[in-house]
Amino acid sequence: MKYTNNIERAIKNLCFMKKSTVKTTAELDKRIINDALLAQEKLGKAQSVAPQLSIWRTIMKSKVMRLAAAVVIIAMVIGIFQLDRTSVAFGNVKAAVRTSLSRLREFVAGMKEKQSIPSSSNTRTRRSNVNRVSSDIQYKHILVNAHVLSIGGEQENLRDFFDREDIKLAPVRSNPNTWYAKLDLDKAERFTEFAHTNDELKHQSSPSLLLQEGKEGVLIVSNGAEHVALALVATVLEDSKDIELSFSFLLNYSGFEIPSLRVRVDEAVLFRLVTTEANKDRANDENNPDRENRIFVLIRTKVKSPT
Amino acid sequence: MLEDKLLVWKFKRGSSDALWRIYEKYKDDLLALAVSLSSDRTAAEDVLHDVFVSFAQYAEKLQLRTSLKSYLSSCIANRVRNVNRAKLQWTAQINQANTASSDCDGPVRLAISAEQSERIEKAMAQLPYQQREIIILHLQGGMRFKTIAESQDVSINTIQSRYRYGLEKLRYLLNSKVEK
Repeated sequence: MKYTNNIERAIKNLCFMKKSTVKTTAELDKRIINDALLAQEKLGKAQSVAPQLSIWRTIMKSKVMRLAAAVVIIAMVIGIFQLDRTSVAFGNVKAAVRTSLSRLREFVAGMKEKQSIPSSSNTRTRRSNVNRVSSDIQYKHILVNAHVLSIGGEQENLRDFFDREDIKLAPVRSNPNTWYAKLDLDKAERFTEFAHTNDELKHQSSPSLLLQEGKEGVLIVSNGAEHVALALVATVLEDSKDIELSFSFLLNYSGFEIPSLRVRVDEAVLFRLVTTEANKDRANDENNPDRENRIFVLIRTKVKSPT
Repeated sequence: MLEDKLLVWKFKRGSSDALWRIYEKYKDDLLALAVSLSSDRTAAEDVLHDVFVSFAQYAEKLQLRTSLKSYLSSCIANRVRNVNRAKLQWTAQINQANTASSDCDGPVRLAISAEQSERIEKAMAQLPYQQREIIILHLQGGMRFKTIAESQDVSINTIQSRYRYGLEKLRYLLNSKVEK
């Protein structure tokens, strides 16, 4: 057999056969996962000890940033020497600097507090949710589905619909570009009907996902224009009248979390997310630099008893 | 792709579930890649182990410019290269490779012609490592030349040349054996 043009195919075949025969063993899986999880745990501890190092490293990594930092330091030194000549002005500036520094310290302390919660906090929230369900209680199942709808710019019809239905959106604390409203199931139904009848809106429903309470599920919906991935954990609270939901959203390329939201079992949640799209014709259109897209995600849940 | 982005996003925030899912998703492909590159099952398992432990250790600094699979494949290739460099006994490994691969890849020889498979593997083992690595990353790992070039910090032309020279040498080695 002559190997001329089919050499790539022959290697591909060999590789394919190799792929199908080479598998990890359970023992190897256990060893790798244990060690990797241990490394991850150590990283979580180390992160809370030295978060300030990363800022310095970020500056030192880039030439431009290094130069900028040097310019700022030189400017500060020159500024201080200049100010030293006029003692009154220097006194005022000193007082202003002292106030700014104390504010900065408060801000950094606040940031550190936030950073010490982070990676583990979300997990902790989730774990506490899971812990709330004791082992002698049967886990309930929750049927979840998401409906994604997107519009570019303003949409009068939608605003009218919100006014008519008296839907008032409240801001989500963890993300400034997100608002939410709790809707009763009838309103939620009317909202989806409205989306179906309005041709200008791009909308898509996800398939329903049966989720065991305390366990994480992922829904991915794309309406052609926007891609929304949503990981959520739901826990039915003790009185069985409320559900606690925690969300992780990934919208196109950015993500954010909503750690905890409590809704009634007969309620749906509507989120409004805003993304900005750079205007390609900015040079010709100075009045409208960027285009804002509004995305609505309606989450409906239904509690199912274990069978 | 979107699933990977979500996994990486969650992984960077310390989710152990995400780490576990990433491992489950790519473990077999990466192990096969490591076996092909190192020609040694035991070394390949160690490489996979080291890559995932480092991956977990440096989660915070992870910045993906390519797909997650390409990133992990590059990690595997880099680690294998380091291991090989440390050994500095590539020629001795050719013999080991033949025996080691016969231990682990028995079904391969059953599935395709045993003789052909062995011949290709032997010829591959004779290639310079740089050429062999690119052929395997491209044909087995499914990585684009551009991605390989970025991961190795060399120009795309160099990568394409190495690939072409590698194939030419392979073709020469295989045809000369056939003629004999």
